[in-house]
Amino acid sequence: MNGIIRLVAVLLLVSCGARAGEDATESAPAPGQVAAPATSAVETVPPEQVEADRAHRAGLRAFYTAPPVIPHDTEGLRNQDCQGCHENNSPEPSDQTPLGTPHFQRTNCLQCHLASEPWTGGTVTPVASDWVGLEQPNEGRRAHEAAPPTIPHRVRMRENCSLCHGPESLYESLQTPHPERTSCQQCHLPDAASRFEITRGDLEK
Amino acid sequence: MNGLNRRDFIKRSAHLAALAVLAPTVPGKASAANTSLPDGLAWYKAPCRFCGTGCGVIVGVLDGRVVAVQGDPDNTVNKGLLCAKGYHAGMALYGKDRLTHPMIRRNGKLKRVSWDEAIDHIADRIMEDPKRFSIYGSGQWTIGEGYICQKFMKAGLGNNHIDPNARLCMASAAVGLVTTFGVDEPSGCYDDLDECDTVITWGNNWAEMHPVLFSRFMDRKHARAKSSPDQLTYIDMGTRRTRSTLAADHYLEFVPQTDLAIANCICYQLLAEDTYDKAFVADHVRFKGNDGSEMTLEDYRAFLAPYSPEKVAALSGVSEEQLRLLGGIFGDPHRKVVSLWCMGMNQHTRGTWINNLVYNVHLLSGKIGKAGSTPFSLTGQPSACGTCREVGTFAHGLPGGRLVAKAEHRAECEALWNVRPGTLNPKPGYHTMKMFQALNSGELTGMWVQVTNPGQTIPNLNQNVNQLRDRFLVVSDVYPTVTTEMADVVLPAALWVEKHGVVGNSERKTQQWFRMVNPPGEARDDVWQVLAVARRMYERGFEGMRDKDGNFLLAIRDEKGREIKAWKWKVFNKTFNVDRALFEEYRPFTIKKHKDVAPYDELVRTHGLRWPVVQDSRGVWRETKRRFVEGEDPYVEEGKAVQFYGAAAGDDRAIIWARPYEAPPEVPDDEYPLWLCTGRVLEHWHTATMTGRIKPLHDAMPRAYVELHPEDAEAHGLNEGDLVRITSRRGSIVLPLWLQGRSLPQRGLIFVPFFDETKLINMVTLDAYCPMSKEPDFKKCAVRVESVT
Repeated sequence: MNGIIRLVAVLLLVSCGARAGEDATESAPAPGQVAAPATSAVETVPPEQVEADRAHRAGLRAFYTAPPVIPHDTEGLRNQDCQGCHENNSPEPSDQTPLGTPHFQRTNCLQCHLASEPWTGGTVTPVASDWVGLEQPNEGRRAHEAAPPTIPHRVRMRENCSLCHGPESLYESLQTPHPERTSCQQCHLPDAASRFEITRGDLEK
Repeated sequence: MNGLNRRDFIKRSAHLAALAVLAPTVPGKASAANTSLPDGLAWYKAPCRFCGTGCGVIVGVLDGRVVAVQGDPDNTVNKGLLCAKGYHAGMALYGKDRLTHPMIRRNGKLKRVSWDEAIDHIADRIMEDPKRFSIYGSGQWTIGEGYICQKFMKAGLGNNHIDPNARLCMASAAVGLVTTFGVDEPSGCYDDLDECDTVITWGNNWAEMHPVLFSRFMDRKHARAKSSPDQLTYIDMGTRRTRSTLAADHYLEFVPQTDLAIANCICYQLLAEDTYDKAFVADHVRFKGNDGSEMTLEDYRAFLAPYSPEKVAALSGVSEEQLRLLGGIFGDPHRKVVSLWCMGMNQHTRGTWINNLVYNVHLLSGKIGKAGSTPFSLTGQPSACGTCREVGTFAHGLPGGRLVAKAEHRAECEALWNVRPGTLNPKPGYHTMKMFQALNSGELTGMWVQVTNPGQTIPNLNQNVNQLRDRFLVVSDVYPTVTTEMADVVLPAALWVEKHGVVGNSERKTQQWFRMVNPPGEARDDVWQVLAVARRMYERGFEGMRDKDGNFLLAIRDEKGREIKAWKWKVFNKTFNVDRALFEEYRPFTIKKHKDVAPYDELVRTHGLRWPVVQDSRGVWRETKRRFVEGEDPYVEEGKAVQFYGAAAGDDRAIIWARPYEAPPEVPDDEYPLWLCTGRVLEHWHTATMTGRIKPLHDAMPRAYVELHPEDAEAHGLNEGDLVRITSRRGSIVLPLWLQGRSLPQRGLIFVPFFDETKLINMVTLDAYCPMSKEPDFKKCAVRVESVT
């Protein structure tokens, strides 16, 4: 069983390209120049883990704006059970408290987050679909080398940055190198590309 | 990588493989660095395709394909939130087995044909026997779709055999409103959930079926500090514990059908305790006996005598204490109470009565026509209100709340449609159940089914659809269904944002969207399909398809009155917005009963408007949050405060009806000892024709199941996962048992969802219906269970 898990992990790594690694390559500063601050964990964790983290996150959603499915067994679980582990401010991260919810004020969790494993009596037949979902932008843009990166994703219902970018984040590659700073949007602005201007929407016009 | 993260990583990776990756992008692509959304991505507004809540969605379109959906923060219904179905609605378009070309059955097999051939064939067959043809439509029809079918049948064929699946869903609600208030559709709105302090659900699992509304109230409730003196209260009344019950402060479990007695018991207490709203009753209410005779308050008091808490507790299984809790809440003049219900009350052999009775409770307590206090009938389908009830696509209806039986109403429609007086048939057509029975007997010879799936949803299928294969059956749909399997002609339809549309939700909100992507293959709009058949009949000289000047009855005209050749697909699809023309043609019908819908262009500009929408003195179109309320509804006269202006008697009074408890037609006995209740689940919409092709929804809920109370399971020797045969007097099916499921039925009751086309629970259900609304009861019949494992 362990062998299978290792094999799956290796396959996942192999199947992911190495483009982010290239992006993270930095050239040495010229004399008199200041080195660009390492403001993104993307630049400090191994590229293969960045890839694996991204693949994992993408695998939980059918497309960018879809809520993630529940990546664990949900047999017998009710709405009321979710925040037992996914509380907004879990004191200690552990295997039992994997990730807080960034919108703890929402209490009907199972309204949006679907089970990914059917109940025991069900059999899943494959769904034949041509769906291709929108990918989530996953890396901020910088206006220049020393500028703070923009927030590449939308912020609505994810207002609590530290849940995903704090030191307790499930994803090492998302962790901020400066967790002592708490006013994130002082420097990191939502990227223009993550806004949603509604088009009037009339094919013939 | 520290130890914890490595462990997590391995765990996650293993799980990811098990998930088979939801995002079906090019391998590796999803994980590459990606700093912006793609060029050319555009976002458009639409209402969600699925339920009657009517959430606003924003649809992301790239290269002619839907690629994302998110909640519309500017829509007052959902304020940016959706449910799992709504978020994944765009995926419904892309199942691999979309119907992409017309087909005609030859020698038992469906064969591909051209559109011309299909349209010719349908026109021929209808012209052979136009009076015995029928249309079975849907609460999922857009307003344009329902309107054109209505005109095609009633003005074109002079035939009233058109009915929608809303008959199985909302008919009791509509007849309940018409009998109590003289006019259909709720007076309150969703905003009342933001202002009430108490919500009572009458047999309604809104956590799963109207989750966005459930969250709207529940998030507000949970946000109150535990120490706050102003706690919000949620009371759930039902026959099984559901996901909603888990959030309730009080759960009142009643014996099926005794909701009738419980409602009367509340009124009994209001009178006995003298806590009814005397001023409201004096000003706005009158009393009627069950036979329609006038009643005094004292007569009504005498009628209520059998409904004391003691007696009703014995009948219903609800404790006296809990019944008194309800009486106390309605008797408290400071409480603001919203009652909610949907199929639990509507799919009921006394569906009209129970709707009347809940209005009685709110009228007697004066909890109506006030912000935060209202009885509110939720709808199941996205345009059950907008299309079926407002366009009047029932066998007895005409647009704008009119009736075929009323000469004045027929004359108004004949004038608006420019047809000769006497064109419209004064005799109501067959309602849904009678329509299918008439098809069985051969009295009706043909049917065109649009946007629904009766082969799966009609109760007692063995009895009611067994002859459908032998009749001329046309089915317009987007995927193969149980019904297309029986069809002679299958027409591929455009789905949701592949066409223009307007729909109306539960709170009178009309919402519009534009086509965003093209339908696949040769699929075409339902509206075009009807237009094309009508035009073919016109060309062949069918008299009904001419108006009184000899012009094409269904002519689509531009703003200058010039006829557009909309029956030509290229014209329809590319050069002219037929949906706008149809909506503007329909709009004048809505004024008579003060149901004025907004002009199309206002709907384009806004995120939906609640009717009546009337221009104010500055020319601004104003929506109405609460009907019959002075200051909100422009049709209420000054100084009236509340005016039930729909009252048939013209006295502005709503009617409190003395409706008794009546036992259901089939109750459990020795041979069939259990109640069967059917319903929906959060993941699936209707018969899962669409949601069954959406991977995350299907994976979460792949197949139907049966739920039993654990003690009943034990008594029958049944264990989790066992295959169970469920048998009624009408049929039987086998389902796996789910004991750890999401609902807990009361002792003696089992629950089965109806979405699964491989497990047709309607083989088992009863086809008895409410004699007033003709809506069948899918919630109560007698069955037995046995293990087949």
